[in-house]
Amino acid sequence: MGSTRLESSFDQRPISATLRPADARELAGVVAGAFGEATAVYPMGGETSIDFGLPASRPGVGLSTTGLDRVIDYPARDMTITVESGVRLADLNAVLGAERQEVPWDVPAAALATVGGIIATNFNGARRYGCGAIRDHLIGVTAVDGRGVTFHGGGRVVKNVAGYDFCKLLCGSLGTLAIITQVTLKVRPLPEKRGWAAVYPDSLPQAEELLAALEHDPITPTAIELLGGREAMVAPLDPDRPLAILVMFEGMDCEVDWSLGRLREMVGRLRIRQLDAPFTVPHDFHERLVEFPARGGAAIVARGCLPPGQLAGFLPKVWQVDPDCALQAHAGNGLFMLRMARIPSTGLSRSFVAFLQAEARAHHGSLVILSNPAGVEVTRQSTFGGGNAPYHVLESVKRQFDPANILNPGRFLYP
Amino acid sequence: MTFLIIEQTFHLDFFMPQNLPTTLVPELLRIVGVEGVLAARADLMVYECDGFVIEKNSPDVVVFPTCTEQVARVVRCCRDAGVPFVPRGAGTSLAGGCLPVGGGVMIVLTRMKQILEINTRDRYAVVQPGVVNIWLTQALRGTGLHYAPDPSSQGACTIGGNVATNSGGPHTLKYGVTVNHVLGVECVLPDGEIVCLGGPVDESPGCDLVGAMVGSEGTLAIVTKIWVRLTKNPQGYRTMLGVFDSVDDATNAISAIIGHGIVPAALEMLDQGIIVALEAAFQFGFPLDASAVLLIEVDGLEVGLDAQQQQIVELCRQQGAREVRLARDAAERARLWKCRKQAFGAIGRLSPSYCTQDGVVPRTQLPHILRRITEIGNRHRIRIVNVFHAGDGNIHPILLFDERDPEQVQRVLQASNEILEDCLACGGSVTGEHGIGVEKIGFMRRMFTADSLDVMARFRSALNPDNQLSPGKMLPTAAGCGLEMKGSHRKAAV
Repeated sequence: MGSTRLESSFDQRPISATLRPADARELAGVVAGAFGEATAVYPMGGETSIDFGLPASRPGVGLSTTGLDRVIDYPARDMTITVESGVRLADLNAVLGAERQEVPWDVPAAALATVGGIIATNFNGARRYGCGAIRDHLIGVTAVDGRGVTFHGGGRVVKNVAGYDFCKLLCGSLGTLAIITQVTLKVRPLPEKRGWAAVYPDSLPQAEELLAALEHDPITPTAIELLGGREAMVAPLDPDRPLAILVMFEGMDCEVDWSLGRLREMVGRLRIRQLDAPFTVPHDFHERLVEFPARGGAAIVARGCLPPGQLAGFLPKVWQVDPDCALQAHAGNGLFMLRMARIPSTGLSRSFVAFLQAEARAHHGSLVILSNPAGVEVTRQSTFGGGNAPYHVLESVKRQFDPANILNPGRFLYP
Repeated sequence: MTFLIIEQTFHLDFFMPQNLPTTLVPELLRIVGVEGVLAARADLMVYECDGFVIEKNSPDVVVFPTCTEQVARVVRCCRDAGVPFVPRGAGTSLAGGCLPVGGGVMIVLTRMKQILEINTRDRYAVVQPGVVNIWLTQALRGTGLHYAPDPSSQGACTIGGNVATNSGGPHTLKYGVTVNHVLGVECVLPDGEIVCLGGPVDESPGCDLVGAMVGSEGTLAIVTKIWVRLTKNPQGYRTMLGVFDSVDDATNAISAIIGHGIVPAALEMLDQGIIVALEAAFQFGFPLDASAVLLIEVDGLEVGLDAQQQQIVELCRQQGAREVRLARDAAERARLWKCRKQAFGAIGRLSPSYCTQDGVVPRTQLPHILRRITEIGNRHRIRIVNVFHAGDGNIHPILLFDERDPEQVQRVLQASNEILEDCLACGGSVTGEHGIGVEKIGFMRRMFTADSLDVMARFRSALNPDNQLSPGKMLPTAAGCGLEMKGSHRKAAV
């Protein structure tokens, strides 16, 4: 299955010690103490995305949430669950599975990745297309701000508009605004059946033809994945094909079977090559696909987002920079992961910052580097790609939540 | 030059509200023109409340900008003059979200009503805030797509207002509320700066400010453009009407359906009081002797719908349904939904005034809360009818009264408070889709700790540091409940 986390370039030298509070109160006490002393705090969950961001530059302490690993309340018939943030995704889904329910998040190293870390990094996966984003499942949150103050937003019911929606605000906040200690999630029933289908377009225009057709057909896939490059072709896919499109269906038996048949007809009409036999890929295929960003050996792992219709035009530029780059796109949402085999010969500043990131921005998109193990040209610009966000607004929010700038200082978007 | 035109057209005194600096109105006239300003007392009365009629206060002046730049200029004027300002859509909100607390300038966005772009490939649309919710779905006819949030007021409410309150609707059970369908917003900050958050993409790096902006009730910025996600039309529908002889049986059926792992597209409950009013208004053929009916809809692939329908029918029967009727065709389905969405309009047949509550309970607590609502209504001698989003646990008890009778108003307020207290005791919320506005500020201390409210106030101050935009909304102040009215204001018969 490959390594269990992104290859690490995270320089932990400035971190004197990593503390592991046993509960949320103790965690808040640590942060309050650090606030008083203006000591930097580097929050950590399962450390599966610890490399994302700039190196820790200021001396401080690591603060692990893995001691906060309790299930607080699971009223299965209300289809919600309240857990502490250090609960691992695999453990969470094991608890839910006993009631034939799940949280449909697809993140690598689910045995390690914590619920809080997944929310803080907003690591959406393949089933975002049919099941919604991480933010859509989060209905309540408790967190500790940069002063050590515990606060909460949302609640334990599925519909609630009281107060500001901190559930949304903390999604993707990368531990810079607050440390999440507890969450309430909306869960869903396990589907009766899952089925994947795989096809091989010969070209990106042909791929786009199918992707656009899927958007206009009544079928309702849970995931639409576009793969490119030899390394992206998880068995049993043919590694010699340049591209593959994978479509996942979930639902009742009859719905999945009908959808697979309908897709087969659609693909036939478009004259796209299908995976020979079996048409439906093996049962554990999904899990292997999810591990794509965490497999070792890539010089650069990057993640981007574009309007879905812009993907086919953008990818040739990626392969212009690195012909061996492997691609996994959650194509229905325009999200994509790139694994570059080597650092581009023209350097990141020219190939990434001035070219790929600029291209993504031109289409209202973004491209960030998740992992850069050799630490080549690590800058705020190369890592986060500039972007169109009003940074002064983000900074203003940051100052209110973390006035002494002790939470992950210097690692992320803020100066 | 503009000023001369104004003098030729109107007497300037007419536009000189007492509470505003003398330079402000001429400045506003320069920005939006004479056709874009209201300041006569009779005109302003329309804007003194929304659907929450218990608190009223008149703005000093109302402006109708037609573009983002005008909004920004109006905001800068207000900022420079130190005058409070509040945005407003169609005014269909139900918790006083657009009540002009402290008077000042009301910025009405209904003239920004263009659908700017529809992109069917990437399934998004770009709209101005004054676009009426239903217009977007109408504009999408023939594309196979629709805009999913469908509040009952969708024929009148604006998408900008939906963003402010994070509106729901019957079909949000399956498809989610407004925030689940907003990709980005352009907005004017309280200092007049225009910024864009998000856009036609699903994700942007960093914290989700778009998500936090939705439901912020106009207290952070004024939204002037919205990128919304469009949703595929389902291939088919099955719409059912479950008829029950007791409210308990109906609520138990709701719990059974949800507990069985079925997520219908919509699951609504109507009790006898509302059935009678609806039947009088629409003659649909609702059973007048039923204690409650459930309006249940499943949608999706045709191939699976009959099985889902059968399962629901079976569960309803197990819980004592007298019968489960099926909508025979699209026209009957449309009539059923028309009845449901116009239920509030039919209430005029029952009483001169009504007050709708918006509590939420865990879905398994519905039988309990419905019994409590009956008890509370009986104790306060207030008639209460119910029509609500049962699948979400989002109750809408409608308290019927006459606002001309102060004593009745007091009893309604007391009964409302008790119902909401009970929702909180069940682990729920005091608002599922209407918002806090001014109506429920008093409950914020019950729902959130002082520390949580402090962090909310800090968050607001990051974008709205002087609290000049929408003052007196959502968050209680240190000293009071937040209803610190300046200048004249009035309450309905209180």
